[in-house]
Amino acid sequence: MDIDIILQIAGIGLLISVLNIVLKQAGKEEQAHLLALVGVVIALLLVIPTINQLFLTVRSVFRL
Amino acid sequence: MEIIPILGGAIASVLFVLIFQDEQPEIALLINLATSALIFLFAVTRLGTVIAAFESLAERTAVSPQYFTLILKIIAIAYIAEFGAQVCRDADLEALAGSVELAGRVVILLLAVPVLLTVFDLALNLLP
Repeated sequence: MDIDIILQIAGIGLLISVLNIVLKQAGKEEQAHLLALVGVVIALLLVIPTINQLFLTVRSVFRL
Repeated sequence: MEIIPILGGAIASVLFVLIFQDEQPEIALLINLATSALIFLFAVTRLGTVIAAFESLAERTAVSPQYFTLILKIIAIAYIAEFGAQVCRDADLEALAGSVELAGRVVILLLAVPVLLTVFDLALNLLP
């Protein structure tokens, strides 16, 4: 039950929300939205190996 | 007592999801997805030993092994379809969850049809 992936995603989320607030203060609305998108993409890249491992394990355990 | 770290992980992810619920719902969904996948992974790996035990039992009986592997396939499809449907329900996408479940049922039916045909033939042969 490696919990580090959850902590990494949460860290990315915190970073994104802080930077968004800073960008909004500076008036750069578009960069804020782009940054949110980049954050989601990075978090997704972290989650995908876990999902892949899950499906491979299910395939091996159930001999699919 | 392997359940304690699972519970810890689940509570931590609930907390994180609640933190990110308002500003970034996508991050909340990703944390939710990652945690449920991890816990599901933990459960499936433990399930392997149970399946090995059942397989040794199945060998003793006269049942041909292909039916046992068919049952395993159906169980696996049910688990994965259920996992996908629940993730869709978490994001309040009921229609998507319904269609994922329907797809799972159809795939299971596809696997079960040959067995039904053999049973039907057997029954017909029994009749005089």
